[in-house]
Amino acid sequence: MNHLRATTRAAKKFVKTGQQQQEAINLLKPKVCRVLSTSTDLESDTITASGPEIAVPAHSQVVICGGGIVGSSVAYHLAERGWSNVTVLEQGSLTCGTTWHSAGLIGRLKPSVTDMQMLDYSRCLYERLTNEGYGTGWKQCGSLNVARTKDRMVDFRRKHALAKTIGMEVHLIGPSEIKKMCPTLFTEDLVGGLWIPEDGVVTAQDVSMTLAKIAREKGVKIFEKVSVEKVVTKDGLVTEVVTSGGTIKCDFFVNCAGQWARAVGKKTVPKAVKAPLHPCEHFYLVTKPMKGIDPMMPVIRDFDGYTYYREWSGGILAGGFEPNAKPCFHKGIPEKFEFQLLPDDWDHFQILLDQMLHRIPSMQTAEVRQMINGPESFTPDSRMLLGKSPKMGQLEDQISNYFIAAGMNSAGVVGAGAVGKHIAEWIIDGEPSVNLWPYDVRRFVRLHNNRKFLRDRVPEALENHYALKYPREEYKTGRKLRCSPLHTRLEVAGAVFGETMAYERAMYFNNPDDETFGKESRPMWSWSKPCWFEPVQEEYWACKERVCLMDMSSFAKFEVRSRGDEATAYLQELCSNNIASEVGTIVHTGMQNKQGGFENDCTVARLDQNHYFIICPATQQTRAIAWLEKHLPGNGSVQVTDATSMFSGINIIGPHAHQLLADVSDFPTNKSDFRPMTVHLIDVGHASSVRAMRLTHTGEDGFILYIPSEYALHVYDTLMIAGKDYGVRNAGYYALRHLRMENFFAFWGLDLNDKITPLECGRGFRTKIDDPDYFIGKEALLKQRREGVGQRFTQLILDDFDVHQDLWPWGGEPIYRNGNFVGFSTTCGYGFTLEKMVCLGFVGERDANGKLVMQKNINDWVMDKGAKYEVDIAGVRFPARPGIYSPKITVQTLDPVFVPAPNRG
Amino acid sequence: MLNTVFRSSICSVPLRGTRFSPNKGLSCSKGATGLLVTENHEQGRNHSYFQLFHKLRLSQGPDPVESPRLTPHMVTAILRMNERTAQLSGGAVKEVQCNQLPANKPIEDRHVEGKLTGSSKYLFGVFDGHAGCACAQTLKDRLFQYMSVSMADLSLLNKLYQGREDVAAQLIEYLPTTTMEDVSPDLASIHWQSLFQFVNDSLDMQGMDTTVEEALTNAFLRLDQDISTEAGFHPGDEGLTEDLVNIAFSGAVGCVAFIDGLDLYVANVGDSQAVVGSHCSDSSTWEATNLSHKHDSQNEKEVKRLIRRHPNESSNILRGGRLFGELMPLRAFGDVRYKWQKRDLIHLSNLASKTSNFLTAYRDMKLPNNYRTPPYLDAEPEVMHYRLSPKDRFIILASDGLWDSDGMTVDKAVSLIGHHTEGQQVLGRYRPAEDSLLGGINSALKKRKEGLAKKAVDDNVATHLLRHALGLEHGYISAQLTLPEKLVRYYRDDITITVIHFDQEYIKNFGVLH
Repeated sequence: MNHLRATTRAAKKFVKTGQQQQEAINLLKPKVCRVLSTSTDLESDTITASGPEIAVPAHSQVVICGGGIVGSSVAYHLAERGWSNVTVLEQGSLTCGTTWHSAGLIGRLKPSVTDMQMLDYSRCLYERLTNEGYGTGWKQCGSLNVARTKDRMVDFRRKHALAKTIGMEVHLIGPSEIKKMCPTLFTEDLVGGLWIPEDGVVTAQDVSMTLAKIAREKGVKIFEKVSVEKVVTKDGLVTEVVTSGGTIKCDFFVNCAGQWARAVGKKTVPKAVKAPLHPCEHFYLVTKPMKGIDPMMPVIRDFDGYTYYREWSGGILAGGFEPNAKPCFHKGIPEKFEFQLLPDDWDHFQILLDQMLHRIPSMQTAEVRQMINGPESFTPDSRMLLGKSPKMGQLEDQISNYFIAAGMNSAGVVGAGAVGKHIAEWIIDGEPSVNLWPYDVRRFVRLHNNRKFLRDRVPEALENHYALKYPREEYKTGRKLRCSPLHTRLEVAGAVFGETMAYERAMYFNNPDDETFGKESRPMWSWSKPCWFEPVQEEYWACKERVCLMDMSSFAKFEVRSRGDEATAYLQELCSNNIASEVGTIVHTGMQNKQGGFENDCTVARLDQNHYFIICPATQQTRAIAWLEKHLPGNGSVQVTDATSMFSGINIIGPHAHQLLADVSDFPTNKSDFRPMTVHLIDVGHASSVRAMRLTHTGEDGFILYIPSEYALHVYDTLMIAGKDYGVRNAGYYALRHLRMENFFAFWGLDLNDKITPLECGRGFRTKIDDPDYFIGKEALLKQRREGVGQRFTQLILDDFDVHQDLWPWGGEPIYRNGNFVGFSTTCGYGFTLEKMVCLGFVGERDANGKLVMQKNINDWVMDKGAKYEVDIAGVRFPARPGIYSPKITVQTLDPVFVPAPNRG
Repeated sequence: MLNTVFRSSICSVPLRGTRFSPNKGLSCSKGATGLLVTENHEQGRNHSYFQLFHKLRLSQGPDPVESPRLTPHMVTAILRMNERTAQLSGGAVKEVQCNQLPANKPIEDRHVEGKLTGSSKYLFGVFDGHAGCACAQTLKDRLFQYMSVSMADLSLLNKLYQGREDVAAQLIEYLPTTTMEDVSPDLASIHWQSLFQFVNDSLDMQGMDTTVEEALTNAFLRLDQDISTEAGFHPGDEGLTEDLVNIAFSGAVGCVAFIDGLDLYVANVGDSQAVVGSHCSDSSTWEATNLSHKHDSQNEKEVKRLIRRHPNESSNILRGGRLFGELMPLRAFGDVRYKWQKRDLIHLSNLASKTSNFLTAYRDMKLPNNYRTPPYLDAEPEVMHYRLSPKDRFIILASDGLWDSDGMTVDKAVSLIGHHTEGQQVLGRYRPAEDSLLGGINSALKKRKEGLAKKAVDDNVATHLLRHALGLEHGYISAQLTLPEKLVRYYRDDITITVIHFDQEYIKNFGVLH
C-alpha cells in the first residue's frame, strides 16, 4: 500500500498546484483523500463528536440524517432557499458511506424526460459550482453509449427523440464515428451509438464536500460522529430526534442514510418507517496508467456488455452492472462501516472483465491498481426512493414530516443535485415542482419492505441498470406475492401475469389447449408488435361481442363510514365531483390537490347514507390511504379502512353481461332496474353480499362485482359455468387497456398524475366547480377556467402506421404539432375497432423556455384544422389525427331492450 | 441364529435395479434369484416376491421418494457421519478421503489406511464382509501386519522374533482416517502366536528373493490359512473359540493398495474394486484404469480357474452365478464352510449337536450338495502392478456396494471425482499476483469458472461419490436412507469408499529426487 500512498501524496500536490482535479486518485485511499479533498477547510469547521460532551442544538427546523452526497445536497438546497436552521447528522465522517467510492459518472440519458431533466439539473449545478471555483472534479468529457444490437439502437433512438425535446445535445452516430472518437474501443461488433457531448464526470467526494461546505457557510450545522438513535413520532409527526450527542426537536426529518436508510427507518418510535432498499455489491476496477488513454476520453457505456469506462489518472476505471449480482449485508450493515469496501471477488467480476477486455482490447496488458467492491443500495424497481413516509399497513401511521431520500440505485452522484432540490421544495413548498410519482415511496406496499424479498429482488434491480428493458417487461424475482383468490384458476386458463404493487394480474391469456402454448413464437418482449397481440385481439372482440370475465381484485378499495353525515362532508371536501347523490349511485371523481392536480382518480359508491365504498387504481393503495388519512377530521368521526384484501373484483364485461348476471342472480339486470352507475347488494350463485356495480371503466356495458374474497372462487365458477353458452371467456388487463384507450378514457398513474387537472383532461364536466361547495383544489380549477389551461388530453390516431411492421409507440413519445414539440404520449395501443394505432397524450403550446402557454380555447387550438400532428416513434414521425372526444364508432349503444348483434367492421 | 446369518451371506448381493420403480424391479431377476435360494430353492417366483415387497412399501405410508422423510440437511448429516480425511506429505500420497454407508446393521465393511512404520510406503484396504463382520474385522486388524512381515527385512524380522506383541503392534502406523478397535487379550494372544509363527517361517525363508507380488500373495494366503487353523483348537475357552469359529465361518473379500514410491500394487480378493483416475491434459477428460478384476461368475477367467481345480463338478459348483448357488465372490477370506474337509465340517456339526454352548448354532449346518473336493474357495490375491505417472491423480478403492449401485461405473466414478477435484482447486479466493496483466487474470478466471461450475456440495470426495451412488435427487437419497432395516439390504449393500489422491509434484519430481 505504501506506493499507493506515495502516489496519493503526489496527487495531492497536483491538486494544490491547481492541476487537473481528476488527477487525484483520492478514491484509492479514502482517509488520505479526505484531506486531499478540495474542501479541506471544511474539516476544521465540521463539528466532530470527540466525547459525550458534544452538544447538538436543542431545536432545528430540519434534521438530515446522513452526510453523503444526498444529505449534503438536501442541506445545500434548503440553505439556498434560506432555511438555515438545518442540522446534518453523520454517524461517521462526511461521504464515508457510498459517496466516497462512487465512480462519479454524470450521464443524463434516461428513459423518461423527467429523469433527464432532473439529471440535467444536477449536471448544471455541478458545472456552476466548478465555475464558481469550487472543487468538484467536473470534467466535460462527454458520454459515448454504444449499442451491440438493433433493439438497443431502438432504445437509443427513443432516448434521442426525448432528449431533443428538452434541448439536450445528443447525436446518433455509427461505428466508424465511434472508432474515430475513441480509437481504443473495439467497434466491429457495434451497431451504433449515442454521443452526448455535455455529459461528464465528477469526483463524487469533492462535490459532496463542496455542497456541505456551502451549506455550512449558509448556517447549516454539520455533525460528524453523531448517530441517530431514535426518531420520536407523535400523532403522525416527528417531534424529536434522539442522537448520540443529545436530543433535537425538529419540524422535519430527512432520512438520507443511503444503504442505512432502512435501518434508520426502523429507529422510528413507536412505529418503524419503511424504506424498502437493500445493498448490493457493486464492482469496478481501476488500472494503472495505460498508454494511449486520452484524459478527455468520454465515458463509455457498453450496456449490452454491462460495463462502463472512464479515464482515471491515466488509466481506466471500469465497472459494471452484471447479471446475478450479489446482495450483501442482508443481516444488517456492520458497525463502523466507514470508508470501507467489501472483499473483492474476481470470480464474480470475471463476467465484467471479459466484456472489458473485449471492448477495450488494450486493457489486456494493463495492470490492476485496485479492484473496488463497494456496497450500494437498490430498490425493488431500481428507481429512487423519495418522499414522505407513508402508511404501509393497517397498523401504521403516516408521518407527514418524515422524508426519505435514498435508494439511489447507483445513480447517487448524478441524482443527488436534483433530489436535494426537489426534497427542499417538498419541505418548503409542501410539494415538489415536478411529478415525482415514479420515485415516490408511496408506490410501495408493506411487503416491499420484506428483507428477504428485497434480497431476492435487488440483484435484478442492479442488472436492470444497464439491461435493455423492453416496454412492459416484468420483474422475474420476488413474484407471486399477492394473488387473488382466482389466481390458480386463471393460471390454468393460460394467464400471463404482470405485477402491480406486488399484485399478480392477468395481462392476457394464452390458450392452454393451443399447441404453441408455452412456446412463444416471438420473443416475450419487443419494441414492435408484441407476442400478446393476437391473444389480446381475441379478448378484445370477446368483450365487444360476447362477454368476458376480468379479475379486478388488485384495485385498491377503501371504505369510509361515519355515524352522522360527517363521511359525506369529508368526501365532499376531498372529491372534485359531487358524491352526495342518492344512496346506491356511483360517481367517478377525482381527488384534487391544492393545485387542482389528480391526487387520485376513483369511483365512489354510496352504499348507505353514511357509508361509501371507494375504488382506486391498484397503484393508489398506499398513496390513497395517505391522502385520505391526512384529511380526516381530527375528532375521529370518520373511519377510513383499506378493504383491498377483503373484496375480490370480477368485471363482467360485454353485451351479454347483463343476461349472464341475470341467470345467476335474483336481481333484474335490465337497464331500468339496474341503471348504469348504480350499485346493488345482490346474491350471485350461492354467495351473498356481493356489491354489484354497473360500470366497467372501459365504456362497454357490464358489471363489476366486488365479492367478499371467500366467495370469489364460487362466484367465478358460477359465472363461468353459466356463461358457457354465452361464449364467456377470461380477459386480461391489456384487453381492458385497449378498450379504454380506444374509448379515450384516461387512467390515473398512466395518463393522469398530480400535476394534471380535470380541465386539462376534458373532465371539467365531472366536477362540482359551479356548485357552491368547497373542495380541495377548487380555487386552482376556477383560476384555470378563468385563465385557461396549458395542455389538453388528446387522442391521436395514427392513420399511416403498419401495426405489424413498424416499431410501436409505448407511451412517452414526443408529439409534434406543425413541427413544434407540444407534449408526450402517455399510453398507446392498437384500436381494434378503429383498426388504427392510438396514442393518448397531452398537447400544449410551449414558449421558448419550454413552458406551457395558457390558452382559453385550447380545444380549438388542438383541433385546429390547419394543425398537423406527428408522433415521433424512435426517430420516425408518424402523422396523427387528433381527437378530444371518444370516437363515435367505438362507443357501444347502451340500448337495454335488445342485444345488439355482433357488428364487426 | 446362524441360519439367518447364512441367509444374509447368501444374499450378499443387493437387488440391483429394484429401486423404487416397479417396472425396473421386475426387469431385474438376477438379484431376486439370489434372494429366493433359501426361500424355496427355485427360480421364477421373483414376481410374487416383488409384489410382497411392493405391498410392504405401500404399508409404510406415502411414497418415500415423492414425500421424503428426511430434510436435505439431515441427508447431508447422515452422509457425512462416517467421512474421514487425512492430509499426508512426503510420499506419493497427498490426501486420503474415506466414507462408509451401512446397509447391514452392524456394517460388515471395513476400511483401513496405514503405512509401514518409519517409511512412506502406504497401505490402503477395503474389506467387505459377509455372514457377519467378524472376518472383515480380523482382516482390518491383521492383514497389514502380515503384509509388513512378508515384506520385512532381516533386522525387522529379528526384532519381531525377539520382541513381543507390542513390536507387532508398531509395525503399522495407522492414518487418522482409521479407527482401530481394541482386540480382546485372549484373541490378541492367539493372533500374536500365529504372526510369530509367520515371522519364524519368514526368517527360515530369508535369503530367497521374493517380489512384492509374491510377498503380498504370501501374506494373504498365510492370514487366511491362520484364520482357518485358529478355529476350533482351543478347548476350554468357549468365548475364544466362539470368536475364532465365527471369524472362520464368516467371510470377507478385500482389496488392498500398496504404494511404494511410484509403484502401486493392488492385491484383490473377491469383488471389491480399485480404479486409478488419470487426467488427459490434451482432451481434459478423465480416464479410468482398472487395477483389479472382480472374482465372480461374470469373470470368465475366474470361472475357468474354479472349474480347472474341480474338473468334474462344473455342473454343480456354480449355480445361479454363485458358488453352490450360495456365495457370490469366488475368492474370499474365511468361509471355511467351503474350504474345510467334509469330515472336519461334519465333526464340527456333531460336536455342536452334543453341546449346549454357542456351537448349537452350527448344529443344523448343511453342507453344500456334492461337497467333494474342497477347498472350493481361497484367498489368493490377484496382484497388479502399476507405475504412477504425473497424469495419475487418484485411486479409488471401494466395496461392491458402490459399484453395484444404479448407474455407477468405474468411468463415472472417475469422472465424478475428477470433476470434484477440479472444482475443489478453485475453492480459495483468487488474488492476482502483483503486476499481473488483466488479460492473464481473465484467462485464469475463466479456467476457475469451469472449476467453480463443478464445485460440489460435499468437500469430501468419497461423500460426493456416495451421494451420486444413492441418487441425484433429494427424494431418492432420502428414500434410500429411510429404508426399513429389514428391507435395506434388498436395495443396496454396505458401501465403503476410499479415495487416495496422489501428489503430482512428488510424482513429477520423483525421477529427479531418486
